[in-house]
Amino acid sequence: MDFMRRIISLVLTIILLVSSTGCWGKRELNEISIVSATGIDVENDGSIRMTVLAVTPISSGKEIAANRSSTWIGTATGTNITEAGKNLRSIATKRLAWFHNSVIIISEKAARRGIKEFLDYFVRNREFRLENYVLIADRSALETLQIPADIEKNLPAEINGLIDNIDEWSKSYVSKLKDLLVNVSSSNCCSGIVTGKFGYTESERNTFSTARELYKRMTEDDKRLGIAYLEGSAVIRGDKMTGWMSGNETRGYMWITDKVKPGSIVVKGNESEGSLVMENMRNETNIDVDMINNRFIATIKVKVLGTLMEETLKVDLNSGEVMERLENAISGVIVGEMQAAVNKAQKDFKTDIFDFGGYVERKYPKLWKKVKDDWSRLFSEMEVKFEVDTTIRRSGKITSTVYSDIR
Amino acid sequence: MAKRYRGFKIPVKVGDEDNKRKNPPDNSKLNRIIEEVEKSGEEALEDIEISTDIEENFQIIQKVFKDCSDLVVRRFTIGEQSVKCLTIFIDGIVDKMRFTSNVLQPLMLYIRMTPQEKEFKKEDLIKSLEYSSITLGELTEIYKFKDVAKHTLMANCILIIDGNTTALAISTAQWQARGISESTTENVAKGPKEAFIENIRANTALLRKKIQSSNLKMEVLNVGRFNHNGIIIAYIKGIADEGILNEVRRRIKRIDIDVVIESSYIEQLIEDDSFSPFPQMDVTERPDTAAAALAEGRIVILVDNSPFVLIVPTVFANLLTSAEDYYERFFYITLLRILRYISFGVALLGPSIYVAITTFHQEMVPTSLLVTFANARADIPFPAAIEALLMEFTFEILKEAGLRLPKAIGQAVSIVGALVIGEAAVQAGIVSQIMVIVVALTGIASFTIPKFNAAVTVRFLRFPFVLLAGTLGIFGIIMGILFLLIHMASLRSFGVPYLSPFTPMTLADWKDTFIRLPIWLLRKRPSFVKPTNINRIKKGLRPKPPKHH
Repeated sequence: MDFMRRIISLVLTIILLVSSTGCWGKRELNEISIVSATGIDVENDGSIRMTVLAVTPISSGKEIAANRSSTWIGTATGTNITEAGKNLRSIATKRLAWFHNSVIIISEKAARRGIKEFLDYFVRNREFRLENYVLIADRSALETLQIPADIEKNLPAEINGLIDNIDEWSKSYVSKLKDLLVNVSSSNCCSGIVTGKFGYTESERNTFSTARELYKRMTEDDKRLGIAYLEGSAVIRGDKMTGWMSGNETRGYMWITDKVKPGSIVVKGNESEGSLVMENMRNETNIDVDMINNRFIATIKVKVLGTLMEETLKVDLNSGEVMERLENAISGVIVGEMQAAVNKAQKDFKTDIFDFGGYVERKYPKLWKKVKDDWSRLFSEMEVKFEVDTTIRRSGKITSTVYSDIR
Repeated sequence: MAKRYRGFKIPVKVGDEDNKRKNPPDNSKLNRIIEEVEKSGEEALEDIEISTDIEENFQIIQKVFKDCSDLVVRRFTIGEQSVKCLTIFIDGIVDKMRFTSNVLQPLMLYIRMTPQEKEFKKEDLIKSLEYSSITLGELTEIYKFKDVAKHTLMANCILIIDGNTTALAISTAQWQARGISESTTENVAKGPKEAFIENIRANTALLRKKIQSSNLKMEVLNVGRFNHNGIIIAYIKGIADEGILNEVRRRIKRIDIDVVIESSYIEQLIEDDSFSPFPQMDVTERPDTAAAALAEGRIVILVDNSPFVLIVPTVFANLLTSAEDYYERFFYITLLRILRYISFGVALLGPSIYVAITTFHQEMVPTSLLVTFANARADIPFPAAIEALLMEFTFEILKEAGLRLPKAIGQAVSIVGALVIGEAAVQAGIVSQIMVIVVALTGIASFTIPKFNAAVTVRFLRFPFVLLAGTLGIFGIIMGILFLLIHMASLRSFGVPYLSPFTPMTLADWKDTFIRLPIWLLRKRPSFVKPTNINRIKKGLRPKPPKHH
């Protein structure tokens, strides 16, 4: 019967189709190690070392689990990064899967040598997402990845927490893999990028568990155990790192590039009689680059709206005149931070981390073609003007000061 | 009435001698009939007319109902003329009280008290009795033995009188049926509780109670060779589409089947595509659902002996609709409807998406969730697809076992099933906790589908989807969904596209799909049902309380 033949052939087709795939590309969850952080070092002999921090499945709720760590650190060297990655397999017991990698840590040494080949590898490899954060470590990546996690499950979780917290204080800036990619492919000869500095301090322990029992059990060694931190940033010119920027300089960079998130801006009073702290809530930066008398002049206009966090200057906040003075003082501080960042970029690094070149290219496309080869010199010689307009929008829960003699 | 018979002056003497005299020449014919009946049963009665000779009739009836121990034959004579009479009925399905007081008593007792009694002419007796003696509402004159048999089996009592070629079928039916009780398959918290029963007349009465209009038509069609009450097509004239109605009639008329046990028989014989996993007819045991469907312009098919009625045409959106949807506030119902569409998806794809993600697309879930998944699966010996199939099978086994067992034992099954399968299997490391959660969620999601026949579809389709997910991942699932959508788009329910009003898209009909607008906004009947009259509710019925100052 024709109908039956059709049914049978359909069933056969499905069976053949399904069985011929052979579960192609199948990768069971318990067969993989989920790499969550990757570190890159350059050895003294020039070979590349790749270190991975992987989460390995451990069945939960079993007795064994307590004595087994779920994070696994593996490291291997090779003549190049691909080779190092492949050599990792000689010590890994499960298939390594990078698709959940969230952080790439490059040692200072490797970064200063140049990151082009790593970047090519990471961008080409389909298991790496362009959303990966890239951090520069002040020591080797191998050492950095061995930092024990303090309160989170593992180090990558802690790093992600640190990166999220940048939004609360703005003294570091972390770039993503895609930002680095854009930077190296820029037409600007001295274009640069800033990414977070990941460090480890052993001098003192900054965080403790407050559980009394745990505290009592802590040995001196435990107390000396340092803590990972994220502050300041590394400046990468093209594909090579050129130096570090401090936290405040980094925030200066973030003011100019409109990346700044809430943070505290401190104005010291005269003769240490008090201080004023404002938290910026909303801000907007506009950059304009002009060509005046054969000189490039960048004008950076920043508008800041903020809330008072502290005020111990003993001034009358209800007076418009006083407020104006305070706002101007805050603007001065912001200008100072930006000036510091510009000085560092122009003098020390000769790196256009602010992408002024991009503004010139958009405004004077023809001129840019002529000057782009000489941009390194032009950038370090260009004048930068700042116009900061600060408005203190709110004064917190109280409108005046806590000092009674003013009231 | 009696006046009509006053003209007959000469009473005819009726006696045995007359019959005996007539009998011999007819004997050969009678024998032939009896032989035929012997050979081919009831079918031989097709053209045989009732004879004037009551003995002959009696013999044929006895032959037809030979060995039918439930047949009761009562012979008696009427009046002083002693006209021979014969009543037959089937024991157990007629109301004997009614038979005694409304048939036997008038004929045997009261008729003697009437002054005209002596003047009755034997040949006209049946007409006379029909008009003046039998005190029951439904009477049918019958002339053929075919109808004698049929009416007897339809629980009527047959009265045959000597010398008359007309017999009377007197309705004394009292079918054994349970009382109207609460719906067991479609529960509602608010709304009518009554449900259809196995008696078709009671069911039509339930509908008639709700729609009191002569436009509610109930056409009887007989399909079963052994059924006489058959099928009733109910529709509201002036609303239901004639084209669809004709198609329903055509499809039902072509049925030739021995016996219709349940409405599902009819459903399977008239549906558009037998090989589709989707039900193409709404099945309900709720009169309110059926009446609402009638008001929408749909057609209700009632089948005797079945408490479930069929509603056509039915589209996919109807399967995710419950009667209660119209009894609660519309915000809440809209939320519920959306929830049902989501849980339809969960019930269909829950395990397969989990399998696809954990075996092929680990990059699709957030890292922390993946770690949780991975930890749960760490020591599981089976691939995720096998694990899923294992759990799904177990779930189906449990459900089937719980369904068929007596209620008391069913409880035990669910406890053992939940504990043994849920706890022990996880403890033993055969299945992961996540899989138990996924399968349980899937199972519960499938219970939110209000129509049982649609839930069955989803449960069945889950298995191929898990296979596809286990072999081809999300790619396989997408292929499966496309295949399903193509099938659904090509499916028709009595000419109405199954996916309407989504495709072909009629935006106005979305008002009662995954959203449900307030009643006063459901002004028009769904256009895909092709109602002759689309307007349902008068415009501007939004409640407007008077303003107080």
